[in-house]
Amino acid sequence: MSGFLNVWGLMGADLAPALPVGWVMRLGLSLGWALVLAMGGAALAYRLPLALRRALALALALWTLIPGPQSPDYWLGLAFHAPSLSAMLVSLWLLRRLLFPVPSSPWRRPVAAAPGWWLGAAVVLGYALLSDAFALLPVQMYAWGFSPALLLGLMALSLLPWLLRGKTTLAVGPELWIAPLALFLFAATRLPTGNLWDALLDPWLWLAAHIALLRTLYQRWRA
Amino acid sequence: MNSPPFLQAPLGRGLAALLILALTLLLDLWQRPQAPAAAAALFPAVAVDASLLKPVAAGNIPMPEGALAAHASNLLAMPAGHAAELSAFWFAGDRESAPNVQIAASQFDRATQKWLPARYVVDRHVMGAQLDFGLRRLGNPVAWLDASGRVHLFVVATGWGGWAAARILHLVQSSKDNTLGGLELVPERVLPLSWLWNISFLVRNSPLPLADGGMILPAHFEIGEKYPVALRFDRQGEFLGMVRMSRRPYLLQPTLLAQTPSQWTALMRNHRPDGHIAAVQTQDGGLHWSDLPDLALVNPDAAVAGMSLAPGQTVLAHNLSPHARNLLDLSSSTDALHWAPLQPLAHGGDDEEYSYPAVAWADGSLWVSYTDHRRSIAWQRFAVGSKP
Repeated sequence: MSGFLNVWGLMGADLAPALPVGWVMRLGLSLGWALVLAMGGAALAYRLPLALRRALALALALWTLIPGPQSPDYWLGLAFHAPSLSAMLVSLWLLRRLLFPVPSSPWRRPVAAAPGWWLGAAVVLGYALLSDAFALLPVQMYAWGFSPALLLGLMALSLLPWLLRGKTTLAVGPELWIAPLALFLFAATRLPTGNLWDALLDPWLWLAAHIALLRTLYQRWRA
Repeated sequence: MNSPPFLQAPLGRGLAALLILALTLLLDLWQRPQAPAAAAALFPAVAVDASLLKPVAAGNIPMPEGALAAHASNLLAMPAGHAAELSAFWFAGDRESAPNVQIAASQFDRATQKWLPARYVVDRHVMGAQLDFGLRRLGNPVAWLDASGRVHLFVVATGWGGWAAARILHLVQSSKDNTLGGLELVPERVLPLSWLWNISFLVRNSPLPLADGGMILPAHFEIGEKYPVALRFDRQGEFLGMVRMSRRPYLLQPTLLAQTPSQWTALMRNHRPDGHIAAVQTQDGGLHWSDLPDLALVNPDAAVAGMSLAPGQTVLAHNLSPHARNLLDLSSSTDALHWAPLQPLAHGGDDEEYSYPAVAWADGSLWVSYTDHRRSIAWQRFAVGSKP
């Protein structure tokens, strides 16, 4: 079994983890679930008039921000802890599409048309992290998530598509900016737990990536 | 949405990417604490032949009023000069996993040489309000004193589900004093140990103290596969990292025994039928762990607890019967692998239970506590000679 220091050594840095402070964690948990629930509510109510959709999303977000057991995040936190930063950013992106639609905007490209490669990467990453949780891997992948070297490596990797694809990339969809932005926000806030993997992907987002990937593959097969 | 012109050139994008990388790394490194030095175990300042320890006192710790059940005690030696020699923590309520289970505590008063009336120190509703998310059930407290003398308490707190959905909640003393009446604890965080909603990590046994004032907290993963992990903390109780101690999927509740500052053995409860106490060992202060053959001691899927009094002086409290928890014994060893019986702790009939032992060294004595029929916490004190 590899250990505390050699795992960090393997990743190129003998540094201790930095975990989020208490109030930042509490804020992140409430804000995260507020975004996810507002997006979920707006998506379920997509047939309603825009004003009603906006009111519903706002009401759900405000309800979630109430402290204590009257708030859904009290119970969601009990069961699922906090959503990842990526899930928050995806929720923001979808809220933008659902509540402030711009007909001519390239942002309106359907989610299902998103390139499968990043959805596939998220799905594979989730299986690896799940296997690690059950000690099925010979390495300790979750522990790597405390390493600054991994943060730097993943940030470089996540910027590659933007570097290679150039000027059109900001318009084509979230796959090119979700990961770098989540990693940057993680470096700044340590949310949600201080472990990079928790910031990048959570189990619910992983399950959603399965559905989106299957839709993408099905649409390509139909085309 | 179009990119600014300078980002449309490959060189501009390359420079921007480098800037983002540098800024990310700076933000990250700025927040990280000092790198930990190699871990070295600290032994209690005792020079005693464990084989000479004799029972000098015994009894049951007072329960909180109205508590029908008690389980999973943990002992904490208090510093010299403190009003108490020892603190004990356990969970109590109507039954294990009952909604009203809280973490109870008592202290052994130096002046009266008696346990003080117990009080609850952790309430799940209060902790939930402070964390801003709910805790369904509480259990398995493990206590530690940091370099500043603050009490840290690690408790198992379940989410949606039973013990397999548990997380380790780290609480820290917020009050000025840690006498029983004054002790107040606030939640620090749920320890980040797993990607799977951070569930199914539990604590049970006391930490291994380190020479740098920090400690190694043994824990285990429980849902489906059961495997042990070691968690390192610095002298103020800041989390420094985790390491898996074995991939064998039936080992839980490790207890850490140091043979030298860098050679440690972990003994564990064995979840297999007809199991024996399992062992893993590190030679380099927790950097690498190797599986060892199971010990000769049988283990009825029950918790064990041990400690090293000095190099070559190790004690272990364990259930000796192969299929029940009715026989609880204390054994000693010079290498943590080969054990000789030292004292019977509690022997009962087939339907009786003496289980979940805890051990601590305080004021020249070895203290042992254990669950007595799931109704209360029993204790025994051992010393060389006839010290009362």
